[in-house]
Amino acid sequence: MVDRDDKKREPSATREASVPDIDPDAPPSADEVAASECLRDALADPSVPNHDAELARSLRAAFAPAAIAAAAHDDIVDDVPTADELALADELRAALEDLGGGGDNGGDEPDLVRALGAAWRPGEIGKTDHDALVAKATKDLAASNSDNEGAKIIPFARRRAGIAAVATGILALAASVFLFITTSDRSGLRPSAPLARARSTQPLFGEPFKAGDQSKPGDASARIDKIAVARASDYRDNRFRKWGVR
Amino acid sequence: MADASAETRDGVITRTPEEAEAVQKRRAEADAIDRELVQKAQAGDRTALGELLHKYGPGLYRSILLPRLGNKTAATEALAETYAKVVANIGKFVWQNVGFYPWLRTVALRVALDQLRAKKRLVLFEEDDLAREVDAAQTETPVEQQLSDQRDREAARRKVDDALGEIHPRYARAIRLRILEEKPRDAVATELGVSPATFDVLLHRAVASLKKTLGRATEGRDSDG
Repeated sequence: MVDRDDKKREPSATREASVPDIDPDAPPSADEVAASECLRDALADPSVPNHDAELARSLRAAFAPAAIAAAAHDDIVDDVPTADELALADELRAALEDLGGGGDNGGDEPDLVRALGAAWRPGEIGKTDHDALVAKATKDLAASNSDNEGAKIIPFARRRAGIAAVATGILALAASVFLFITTSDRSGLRPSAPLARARSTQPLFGEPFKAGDQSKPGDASARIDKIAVARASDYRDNRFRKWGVR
Repeated sequence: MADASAETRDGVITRTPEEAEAVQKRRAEADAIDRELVQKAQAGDRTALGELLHKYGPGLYRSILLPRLGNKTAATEALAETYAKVVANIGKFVWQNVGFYPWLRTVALRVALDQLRAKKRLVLFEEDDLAREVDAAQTETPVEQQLSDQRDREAARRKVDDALGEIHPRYARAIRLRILEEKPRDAVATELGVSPATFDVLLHRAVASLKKTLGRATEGRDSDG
């Protein structure tokens, strides 16, 4: 029980009025039951808003403050910009201000920012710049044409023409004889076997290939090698048959 | 222009029969002009070549080279290289009733691919993307440059969307607002509920995260290869 003198030392009349003198063991009213359930839920789940629970938690924090969770602390530390980050942020800000002026500041981030801007809203090429490019290109075209025009044409003397005609005639005759001999030789070697045709490579393997199978490292490379060897062999055979050597 | 007002859906332009006829007629006229210019250029006419390059070059820069190479310097270099290849190979070009632009676009894509291979810079587009585009260019380049440009730009934007989809949504939002929509720094900071200084750090982390994601994707492909 509380001493009457102690009661006199209670801080204010307001507090006395707001905290009715209830027997702790008196049966609860319906309002009290509802309020107590709210407090119970709020204490169990901090996300539930409740003034009494907040008060309870502040009491607990003052009495036995808990350590901050490592992950939460890491997040806070991560949120604080480092000196480097501040410097880079400042550089990026300066580069962004300069973008309108067409500056080409170095650095990865300004480069990327410029690339994003160029992809999203590409600007026009300046007329003077473009005129200069076209002027250079057309000048190059004129230069390449004048090179062609500048090639010397050697006049063909009548006597030389006669010599050339005789020489050409002899060469043509020799070539026709050579052609006759080689084709008549080859006619006996015409391929009788058909050429290898395009076909599936599946018969080269005992089991179907499973893409992404990690249990057999190098399986894909071995398979490709086998296919390449088979294809090379087909190709070689076809060439030989076409040449008539098989 | 009928081309510009035509309704487009999924990259397909739908037109009334009258519009289609008008477009076809205009295309035939443009083709005739281009064909004559090409013939003159093949004969060494500088003015004709200049006209062709002035007509198609700026679109090529904006729709193909700049989005794929990521900065003005690289795109301008690539355009110069494309023009050099055009000069070197214009004699081999054979007119095939699809106009001059598809050929020019293929040349530009090959140049862009060579640049990406040579420089190894971290950009949004990778060698594989360009290689696929080069393969498809032979058969899938629309005859009309306008439609081709539209598809190329849509492809670039899809690439950006895909990349942003790989990072934290808050990072993606920071990049979208500040870099893609080019909103002022302070306004974006307010929109994201942070101070401008904190936003600088947030944006730096967003870009670093994107860089890491792109780098990881590249490494994954390299190790697969």
